[in-house]
Amino acid sequence: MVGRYPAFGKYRTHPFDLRDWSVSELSDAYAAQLQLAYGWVGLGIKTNIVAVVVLVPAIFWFVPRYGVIGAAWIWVILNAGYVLIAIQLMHRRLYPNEKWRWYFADVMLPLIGAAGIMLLAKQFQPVSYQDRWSDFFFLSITAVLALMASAILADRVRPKLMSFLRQDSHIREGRT
Amino acid sequence: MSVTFLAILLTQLDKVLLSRLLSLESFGYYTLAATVAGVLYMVIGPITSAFYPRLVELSTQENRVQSPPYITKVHSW
Repeated sequence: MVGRYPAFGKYRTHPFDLRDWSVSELSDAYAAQLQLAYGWVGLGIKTNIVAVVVLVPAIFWFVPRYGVIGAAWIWVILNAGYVLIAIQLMHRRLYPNEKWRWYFADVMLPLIGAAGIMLLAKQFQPVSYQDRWSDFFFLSITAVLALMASAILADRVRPKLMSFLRQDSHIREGRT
Repeated sequence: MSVTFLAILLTQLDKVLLSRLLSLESFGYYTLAATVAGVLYMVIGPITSAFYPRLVELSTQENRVQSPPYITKVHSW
């Protein structure tokens, strides 16, 4: 379904992931729940019907030409469609005033943070894939850093994060 | 019901088709990547499930134009 959970910093994207569709597919959950909370089922169904109708021929066209990477790109395109089109349709009825704030503060800024970390990581990418474990740790650390970057840039998560850290340091220093 | 059915169709249909179109090795990598990416669902699923009742409650109270029941309003922790 459509949309993103507004500010939990999971806009992390990953140039190494074969299918980084999860970036928006996951986050669809929140806007989907929002629509259902208002008893609005139709948009989600229509969006998914369109997605299925696009998906099947796209697989048959892209995959023989570009292989598995083509399949991954289909998901990127489909999810871009969710975020750029379906969300617009949702905001025609629900919270039109929030749309651009959401696109900017909840999507773009965290996305820039995560994308920045990923591009940086790409510079330090191991040249050859000799050791699976070092690749695994490299990717894991990159993912965590990207998640942190988007959490820090998400203005609804940052205050909670900061207050949490402050509380924690008080406890460590023996204060209450 | 139809929402769930379509969601399952959408997320699984690719694997059904690709298992025929790709070599077993490529399909293995694809499935692995899909599984790894799907780990994020484990994070987001519980959160949205926990918020949903609050979203429904807010939907009965407020108008649809003002600020939505985003985290700051949904939460009272």
